[in-house]
Amino acid sequence: MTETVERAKGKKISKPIVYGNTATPFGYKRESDGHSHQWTVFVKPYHYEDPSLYIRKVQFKLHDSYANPTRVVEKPPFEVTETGWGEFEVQMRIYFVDSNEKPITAFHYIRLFQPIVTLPNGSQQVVSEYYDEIVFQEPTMALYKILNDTSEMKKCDNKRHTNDLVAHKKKSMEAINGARDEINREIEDIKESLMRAHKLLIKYSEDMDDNMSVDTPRESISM
Amino acid sequence: MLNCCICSLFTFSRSGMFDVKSLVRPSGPSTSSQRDGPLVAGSLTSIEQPKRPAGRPAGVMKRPSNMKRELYNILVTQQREGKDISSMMPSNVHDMYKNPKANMGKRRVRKYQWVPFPNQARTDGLQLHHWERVDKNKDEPYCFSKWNKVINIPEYTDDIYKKHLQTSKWSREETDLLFEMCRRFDLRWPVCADRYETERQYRNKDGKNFDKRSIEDMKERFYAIYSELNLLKDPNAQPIGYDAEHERRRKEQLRKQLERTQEDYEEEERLQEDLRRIEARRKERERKAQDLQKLINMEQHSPRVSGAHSPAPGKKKLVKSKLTGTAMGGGGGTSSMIPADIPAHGHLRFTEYKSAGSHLKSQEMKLPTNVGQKKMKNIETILDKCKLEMIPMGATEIVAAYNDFRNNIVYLQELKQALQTAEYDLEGLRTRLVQQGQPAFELEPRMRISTLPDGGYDPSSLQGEGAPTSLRRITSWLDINQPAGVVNVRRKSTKSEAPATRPPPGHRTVMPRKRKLSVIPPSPMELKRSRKLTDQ
Repeated sequence: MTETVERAKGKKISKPIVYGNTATPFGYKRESDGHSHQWTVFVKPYHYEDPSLYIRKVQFKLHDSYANPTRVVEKPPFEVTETGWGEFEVQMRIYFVDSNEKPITAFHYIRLFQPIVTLPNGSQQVVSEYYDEIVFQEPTMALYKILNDTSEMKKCDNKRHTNDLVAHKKKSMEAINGARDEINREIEDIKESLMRAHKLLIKYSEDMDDNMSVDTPRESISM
Repeated sequence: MLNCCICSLFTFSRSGMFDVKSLVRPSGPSTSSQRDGPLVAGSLTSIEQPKRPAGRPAGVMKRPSNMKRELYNILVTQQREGKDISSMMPSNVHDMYKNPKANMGKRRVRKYQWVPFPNQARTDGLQLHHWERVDKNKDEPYCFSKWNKVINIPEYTDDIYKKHLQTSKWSREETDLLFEMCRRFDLRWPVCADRYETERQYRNKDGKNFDKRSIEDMKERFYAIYSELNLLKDPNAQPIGYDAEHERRRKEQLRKQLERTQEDYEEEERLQEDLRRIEARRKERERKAQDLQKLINMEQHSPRVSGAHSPAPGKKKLVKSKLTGTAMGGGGGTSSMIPADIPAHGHLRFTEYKSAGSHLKSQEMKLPTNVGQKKMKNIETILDKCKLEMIPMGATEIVAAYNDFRNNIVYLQELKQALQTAEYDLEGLRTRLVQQGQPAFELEPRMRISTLPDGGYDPSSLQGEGAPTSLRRITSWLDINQPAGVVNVRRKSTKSEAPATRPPPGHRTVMPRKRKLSVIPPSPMELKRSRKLTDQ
């Protein structure tokens, strides 16, 4: 960035987003190309809001075996639907409305077989969703104004995403905190043990040194 | 030397007896050159003609042993070209026995005569004779008389003595005798002291009381008076300092050194060896303690790395962290047995995003690239065993907690390694103590890590004195370097046996390794030290 852009000093705004894919099997293998699933890869805001307010476009880079692997979606919903037979990692480059803000890149591994979730209507689908946050560190003033204006935004609810991301988050948090408590206890234990061991080590090495000079045969020095 | 040779060469060539040519010419078939030149070793006794070395064409001389190769090459080349410049070359000939008689020159010998001469250095008027050139200037003083240097020993009057020079240690008579000796023997102190002693005994027989005086006593008195008199003459004069006490100590020390027996010497060597060993151990211990302190005091949370995250600085930082990573790793490689020799600061340094720009929260979880295989593996194992997601969702709190946890995994790995090393060290120490016939000591159960069962302890084992305070479940899953116990102990003992090559500072330096009586620099510090040693 050569030109100086006015930025919102000291400001940091997080935009929660969800990206992932859904997949539905055909139930058979298509003769023509061997494809067996239809999938959709998507990037969407976590809450109810118009992503095009700040996202200009999303560029999906599919596997090279696809015709035109680079797909650019200029308006929401930012998603690409394709068929295929295998899983691969798709690269998603998110461009912002203010081109002074550099685009960010997210990766998603397209899942075709699991996790299978049961939709409210009873049908099953493979849905892989990943919660992430775009962190705007000192965004440009233009972008800052847009991001700061949340009047149009509606909080996410249960229907917004297939998976219960709130519950998932809580579970993850609990698991990690549990593990942290455990490891902290062990660290304290090992630390203390280490200190004790060291004290012992010093005590007995000093004894050893004392002994060494004692058991050396010592003749009286005649001088 | 060279000059002298050249000049003698010239003399010889002029007289036609000898020249460089004959010197450097091979003792070839020409018998005349043999006759003319100096005798070649073996040429008289050898019946056969000397053989020419195969590689050298006839007529080319052999290089004299003392001649520089460059010079020789010039000579040979010139010779091949028909120009013989050998007579112009200075040459250094050591075989002086080959030289014929000295040339005395052709001038008439100067006249000398046997004459009496006055020696100005003498005061007794003794008349001696010597040979002297006839043409010598009669008024010149005897040339050796100037070497008769007379030391000016100061004198004192009764008055001055009474006022300034009185001391309880020396009587006037003794002082007078001392100065007499000094004057007579030109301050040659051993002689002065010897004569003083004789004189003292002699005078004591006459009923006088002269104390026995050592050289130091005499010097002390003499220099004190000398300084005093100088000061009387010139208040600004530099006083002559003589530290008699120091000298006495020094001599005493020398004497002791000289009188050491072989046993004393060996004893000293042994003590020094012990001292070195103890010092080395002490240093080692201090170092360990320091490192340990570092490890223990280390914050459990990843240190904040300041730095911008834009592509260029980011790369720079990466390189930097890599560098520090390897540097620390290098320290650990040298000896694995010291607890804190582990690259103790291997906390994960996650990329921090501080500069303007946007990023995904999940990117903050990316492990830095300088994390080693082992750590990576351990992190993976622990996450798996603790049933945590490899990549949790990118929520702010989760990312922070997750990074902290992984950080602590690495920290715990280091602690475990350190404890294991400490355990092995303790085992080795105990073995040695037992070998020395000392009572063994017990390791608390919590100091043991090698016996930790996979999956941690049973809760029942957390009771009792010195028991671990945690189940060490996570600890048990961490993979660390297993030092081979036997090798470890052996390595340790060899290490401690080999003392530091340099004695530690503050170490007695007076004792030479070889039994050699050298002049000891009489520095008071060292004297003090060595005195301490010999007083033991």
